[in-house]
Amino acid sequence: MKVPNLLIALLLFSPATLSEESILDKWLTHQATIKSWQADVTQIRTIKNLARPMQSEGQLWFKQPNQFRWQLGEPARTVAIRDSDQLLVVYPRLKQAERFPFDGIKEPAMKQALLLLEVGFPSEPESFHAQYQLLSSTAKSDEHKTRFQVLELQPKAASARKLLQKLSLEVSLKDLSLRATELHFADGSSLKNLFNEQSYNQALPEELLSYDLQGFDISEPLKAK
Amino acid sequence: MSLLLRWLAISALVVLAYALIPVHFNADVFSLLPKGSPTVAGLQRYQQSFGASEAVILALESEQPEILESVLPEIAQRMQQKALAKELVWQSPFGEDPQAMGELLAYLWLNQDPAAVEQLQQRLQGQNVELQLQQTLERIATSFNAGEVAHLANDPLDLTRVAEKLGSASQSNPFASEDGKLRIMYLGYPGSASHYWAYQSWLKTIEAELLQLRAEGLIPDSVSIGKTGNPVFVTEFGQQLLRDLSLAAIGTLLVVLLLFWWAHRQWRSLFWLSGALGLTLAITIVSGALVFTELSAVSLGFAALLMGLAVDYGLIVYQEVRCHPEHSVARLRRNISASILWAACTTAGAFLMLTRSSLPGLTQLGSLVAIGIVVAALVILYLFLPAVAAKPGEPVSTAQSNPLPSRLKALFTSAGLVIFAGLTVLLKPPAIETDVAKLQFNENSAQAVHDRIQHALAREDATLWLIFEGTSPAEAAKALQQAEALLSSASNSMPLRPSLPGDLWPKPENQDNNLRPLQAIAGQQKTLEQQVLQAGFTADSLTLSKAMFSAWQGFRADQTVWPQSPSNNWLVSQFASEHQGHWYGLGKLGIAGDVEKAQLQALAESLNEIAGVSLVGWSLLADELGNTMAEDAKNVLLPMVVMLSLLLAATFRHWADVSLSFVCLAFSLLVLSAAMALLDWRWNIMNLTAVPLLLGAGVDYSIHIQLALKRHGGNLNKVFQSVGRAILLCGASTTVAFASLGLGSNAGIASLGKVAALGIAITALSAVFLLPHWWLLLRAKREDIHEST
Repeated sequence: MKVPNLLIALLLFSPATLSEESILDKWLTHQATIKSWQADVTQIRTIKNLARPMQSEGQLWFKQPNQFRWQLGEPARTVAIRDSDQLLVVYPRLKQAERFPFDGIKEPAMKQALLLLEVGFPSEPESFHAQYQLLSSTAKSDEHKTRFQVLELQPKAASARKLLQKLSLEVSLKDLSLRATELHFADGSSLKNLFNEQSYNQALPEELLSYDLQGFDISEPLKAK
Repeated sequence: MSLLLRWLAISALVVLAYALIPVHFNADVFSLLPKGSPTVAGLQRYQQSFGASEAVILALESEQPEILESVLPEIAQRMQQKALAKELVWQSPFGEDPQAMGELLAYLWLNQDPAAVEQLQQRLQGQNVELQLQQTLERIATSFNAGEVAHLANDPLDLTRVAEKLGSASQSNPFASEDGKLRIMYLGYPGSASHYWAYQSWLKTIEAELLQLRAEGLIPDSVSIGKTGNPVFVTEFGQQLLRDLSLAAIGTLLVVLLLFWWAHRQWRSLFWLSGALGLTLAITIVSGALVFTELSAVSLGFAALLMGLAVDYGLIVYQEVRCHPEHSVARLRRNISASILWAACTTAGAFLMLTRSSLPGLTQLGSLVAIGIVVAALVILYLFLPAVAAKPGEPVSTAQSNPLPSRLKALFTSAGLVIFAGLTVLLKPPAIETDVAKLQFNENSAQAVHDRIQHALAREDATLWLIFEGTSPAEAAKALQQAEALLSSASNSMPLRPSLPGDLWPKPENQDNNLRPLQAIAGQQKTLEQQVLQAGFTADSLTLSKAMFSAWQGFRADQTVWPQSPSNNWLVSQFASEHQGHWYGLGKLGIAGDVEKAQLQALAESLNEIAGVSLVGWSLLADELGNTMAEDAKNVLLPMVVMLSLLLAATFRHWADVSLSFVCLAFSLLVLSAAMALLDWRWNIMNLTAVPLLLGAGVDYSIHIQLALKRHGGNLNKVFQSVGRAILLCGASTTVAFASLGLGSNAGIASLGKVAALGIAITALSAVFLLPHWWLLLRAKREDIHEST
């Protein structure tokens, strides 16, 4: 059994992309223009040792250049908030929180996890291309005959592929919005995020991007390493 | 029996002795450190008993971690194919081995407080199991930690909770640096003989195989490979030591023969002298092997010393032969044997005093030189003397002038040197070096690799090791618990980071209490499996749990339980070992900030007061060495002075002569101390032993000179021509012998060689040029002597 303790908040990954390379580039260019973004999320986890997929509802808020808040469950069971210095994962019901400061992280797997977080909100197409290789690009339509493109990508670094074998992006061909992401992990598990009710460039309340941790038990899981 | 026949017979006996008595060499680094020191014993235990003490650790480095990923399996496969490793460990033992992981977790539960096991029992009963499974599913659905999700999916019953205290140690790869640019591989020693020669042969085979893999292109040039581990330390240490000491012995032999040739230009005598020295060395080695069964490589330094000292007798004898070619062998032997034998006895006695030193290598060296010096005296008197007396060289004219200073000059020089040296020593007192690191070998690649690994892989900056022991695991556990309590309270006042194997060390009492309840849980396996499947997990999710149930069922109640799988055996070997029914455990103590030396020393003392606990580390050894040096000085020097007094009294039978010998030695030591101060040399545990060596070797010169002064009625010309000249040659040869050690790559032995060489030169010069005038000054009125210049 492998227990990679480092893959924090991969679920926050939400990269965006129209057909072939050009569609990916157009999507990357589009993503770079977004100041803020919010959406409802339906997350489907297909875990190797579970007979059935698990579904959770949640919300996502993103603000340039690299801040976001992700929460799952209603009421929220887990909340992940990222700012420029750290990732904070909060478990409100358990009154527990975990800090993951970005400085001092040396392990390649953890670095990869952080790169995935950043790639969710790409600002430079070059760095995205440096990290991911486009495997395929397929045009599809949903039941409402809305056309979208499925982009399959693979991390270029072998060490990154030990963690994340492949990722898929569903990009609407109508407005280049990100419809869904799907991460395929090395152990056969996968995680799919479906984004609905999306809105762009609306003012986000500052308090969304912080959390009052008074009375919480706070730990730094990476500090011991 | 003719002379030639006598030589041949003795040589044949020596060859036979070599055939019958095996000579073993031991190149143990600890022979350079004080015996009986608890810190040294602890360090020895640390190096030899834990972490696969007979393993070679390969450190592979590359800027591209992916390359290392592909190279490691190639090396592992080749080493296994060629049977070059008993076992090979290079990746996390649990990464791909749920059985081993399951056994370890089962073992951890077995050692828990019984209350925790009781809670587990309740958690896994009836409705509680369903509750537990729902909690696990919710966590899997909402966790942002992908690692935790994977972990819970493999442990629906949350049995791995017991490993939480082990933290990252149980999850990260202990064989790779965080950036993946350094990977290590353990190769267990496949042989049974644990000594320098066997390790050397094994390492050569490994090196050859690595070269072959490079030649085949399986190890790219961008990958560097370093080696460390106990066998590498032993081999590296032994190689350098043997090389240094062999070169010193051969170099000394060549130089003393050259000196002899320069002084006497006699091929025939040179031939016999070489034979006498070779025979002396051979007899001494075989005698040493008989006495000690195993010779320390450090003690091989005796060979160079013996060459330097034994040639003295040859020179004195040959000088006497040339001065009196008309005398028969018997007459010559009668004339010279008193001087040679008394000198040999005092020198041997002085070197025997080294056996009181706390350094095992030096005690053996002392014994070997003592044996060798007596052998040398006998060989020179009974084999060399008859051989050279048969055809002596040109007679030496004692009427020749000598380079001795006038009495006035000699006395002024003596007084001037005493004042100058005294003032120098007063103004710059002798400095003492206790840092062991400064006594290491110049080339120490095994240590460099070890340090790099520690820097890259060590999750804590441990510099001290805590060793706990007992006659049973339970007794050792008690010692560990007391140490944990003490360290916990000490952590309030010091920035300590103890890393002790408390969670992994067996607790027999808890094992007795927990085994039955845990086996009862394992008995519910079928029911638990059904509940897990009904909750929505697949059968694969239970692989780890099943391994744990199976381990619980297999644990035996009649003995202390240790994990048994190969992976866990490796893990246990890192912190536990058993030797002849005695159990040893290892913990680490890191210091997170600045701690005062006295504070650390006090902590070490408190820990050492706990029965079965010792805190060890090279930094602590440095402090202990200071005490050892003082202790050694007392144990070696005082008895030596007493013994020398007795021997000198028996030799001279007059207090004035005895006193003059001591004055000559004291004068030489004073000048040596001043010279060391001016040269900025420091005393250390190794070169301090030069003092007894100087007393032993230097006292010879005063004996020869004073006996010659008596023999020649105070005639300085005759004394210089017959003995003084020989002593200068002797001093030169002995200085060369010690100086050759001074060129060695071990800083400790080199410092000993340099100090002893300088000391011998000073002693010889003092004995030849100054002592005769002191003697004349003191004895002129009493003896019927005449001074002739």
